Amino acid sequence: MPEPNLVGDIVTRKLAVHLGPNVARMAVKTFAQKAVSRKPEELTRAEVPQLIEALRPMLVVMIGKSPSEVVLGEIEQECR
Amino acid sequence: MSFRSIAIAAAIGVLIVAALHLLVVPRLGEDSFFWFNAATRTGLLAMVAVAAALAAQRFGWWSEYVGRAWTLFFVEYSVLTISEVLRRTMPDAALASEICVVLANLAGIGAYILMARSLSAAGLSYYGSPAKKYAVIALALILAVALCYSSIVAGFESLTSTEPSPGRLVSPLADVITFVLVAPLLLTAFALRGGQMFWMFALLTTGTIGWMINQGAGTIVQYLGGGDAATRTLRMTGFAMACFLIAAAALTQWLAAQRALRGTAHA
Repeated sequence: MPEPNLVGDIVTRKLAVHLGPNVARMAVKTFAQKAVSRKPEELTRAEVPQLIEALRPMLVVMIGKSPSEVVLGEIEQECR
Repeated sequence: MSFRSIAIAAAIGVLIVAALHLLVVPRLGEDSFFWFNAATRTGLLAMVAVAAALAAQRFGWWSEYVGRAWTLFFVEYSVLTISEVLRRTMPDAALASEICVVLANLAGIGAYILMARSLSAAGLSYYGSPAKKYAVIALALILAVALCYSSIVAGFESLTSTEPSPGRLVSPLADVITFVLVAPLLLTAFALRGGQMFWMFALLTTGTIGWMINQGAGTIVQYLGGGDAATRTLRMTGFAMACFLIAAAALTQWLAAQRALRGTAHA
């Protein structure tokens, strides 16, 4: 089970492949706040599903629907 | 196939077209030049239409945000291809040609607006200060008007002439809008650096700069010192740059999606 402050790192790393590190960090910060009112370093495993739902529309716009499902699925798996 | 190799292939394509125009065209007779030009321009425009269709189809055409942008690019370049064929084969079909120009430009503006608004539509903002953002946009606006000024004036004059041609005004006005949108495209590419999406936005931005070179070739050559031949070569180089790089942008968008579908291990 990942440490709480690694969840944010995992999500940022996965998004950075497609969006680059700057936008990935911005996205995690923005949507962690919107979804669960937390900073990225405060995210816990239990909050990952809510974060994924918050990230989904953003990712669909940026990389498309099907690729988004794969990326978000990978995030969910790695954060278990 | 990698993003870098697509960009390199596109750059080589531009260099080949420029070299052919510089070295071969001056040796061609009038008829040969006509067909060489027709084949080159039609082929390049069709290439972009095919690449845009590949990207649009990957994202369900109109059903997804990014698919809508590439669908509009497909419409733009398909119509431009048809327009190019009409100009060469039916030069008296003025109305059809005008319709094609207006339609292509409207589709193009729509596509560029969607691409330029990607970060905003995704609920994100540009990386960097608002001051920097507005400075880049202001610079793009000044450059756009400078490059298109003489064409806009000619377009207005055309409206009051004995054979008015709305397309002659729509085209440079659409170019101004498109060229201003280079600024948010550039900012988006800069923000996405380090990620796969950077390549698509970087190629789209530099492709659009190709259109700026195509539009402003006369002005540029005038400042650098050169004649009609230099203007024609620079115009064609800008045209080739636009077509090759925008086609490459479509291909990188498609490739990024394919890689994402295979999983991060294959990214």
